[in-house]
Amino acid sequence: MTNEDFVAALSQQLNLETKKTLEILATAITIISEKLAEGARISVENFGILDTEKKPEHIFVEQESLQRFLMPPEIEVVFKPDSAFIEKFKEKTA
Amino acid sequence: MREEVNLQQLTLLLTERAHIPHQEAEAFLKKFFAAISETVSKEDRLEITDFGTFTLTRLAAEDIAPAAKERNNALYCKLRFSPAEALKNAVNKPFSYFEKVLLNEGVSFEGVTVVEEKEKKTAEEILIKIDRDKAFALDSKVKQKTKKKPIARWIPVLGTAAVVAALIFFFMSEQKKAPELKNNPKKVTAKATTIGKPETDSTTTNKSSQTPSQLPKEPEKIQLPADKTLRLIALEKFGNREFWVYIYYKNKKKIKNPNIVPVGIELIIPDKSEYDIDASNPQSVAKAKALGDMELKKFQ
Repeated sequence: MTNEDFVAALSQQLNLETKKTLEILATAITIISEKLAEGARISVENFGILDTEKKPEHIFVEQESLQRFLMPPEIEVVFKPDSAFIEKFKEKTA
Repeated sequence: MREEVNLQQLTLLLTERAHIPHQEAEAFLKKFFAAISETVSKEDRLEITDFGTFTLTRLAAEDIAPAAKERNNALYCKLRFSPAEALKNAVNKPFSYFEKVLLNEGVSFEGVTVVEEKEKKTAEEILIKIDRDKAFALDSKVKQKTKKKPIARWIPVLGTAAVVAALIFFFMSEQKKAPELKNNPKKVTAKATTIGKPETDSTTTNKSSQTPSQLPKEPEKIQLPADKTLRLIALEKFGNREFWVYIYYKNKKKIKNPNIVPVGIELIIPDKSEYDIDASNPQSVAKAKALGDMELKKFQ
């Protein structure tokens, strides 16, 4: 599903105009990004946890050229669904 | 202690930033997260701009090796979240001034892990098991997806059969040539000397009109003496100890650990051109040293 379809579905469920839905969604995503950037963990019931994990600096070896690169540290965003999410997912899938 | 943000705190922030009533903000966030889980269970992919993409891969149990015991009872789904570039950039702001740096040969850092390209991990995947009894719909989807598998399974078998047939044809044609060669040794070619039995067919090698450069090069083979190491052999054969790593690469199937090479093992000595071995070239030596160090680290 594309972003457009997702926004349309959300607008319909919330009985909101698409433009308004887009505005609120953009704000919500900005808040989530800011909080994750501050190092916070976002925990939402029936959904799961959005968290960050630090990957330390490392040497990366390219397979073909065998060139070695010193890669800077990186923060990865990870999503861990909670049990309610998984159960709901199983029901819907079946 | 890390801050933990829940739905209530997100609602307060959204109320303030989007200038909407508290109830509206709460309803929006609840619907937003619920819509993600609902959509992901129905669709294989959900993309949300500036946030990320949820991807679902449906797998039959036989595709997951460790779960082979449960082959007939379960199905699996792999759920993956790949953050969007905007989200990645936002969380990586503290490191935005760093760039990847090409390392010169011989440069190494203690305590820094080495990751090879093939080992590089993609986004974290969550494996979800679904009982087959509860998943008729999914089962049929998986079967549809894997419909082409029986044909795919035959490809390696057919390939092997073709190779075997080609080899049989090749050896039969060589056997036909053998009597001709015995009767007329002048017609002996380089091929006959390498494929036949050179020690019994002395006339062939003596009377061959081919020059040594035209003959296919046989790789040099030696047996590792008790007083020699890979480094000493590299010094003897290539003029520098650092080229030991290429002897190791050439015989990797036989050598489990380059630090412990059994005496008497037959080693194939690689051709210098194969690995660009040149003892007079400092870059070639440095490259070999870096590779050697990298290999040794794996066994520390």
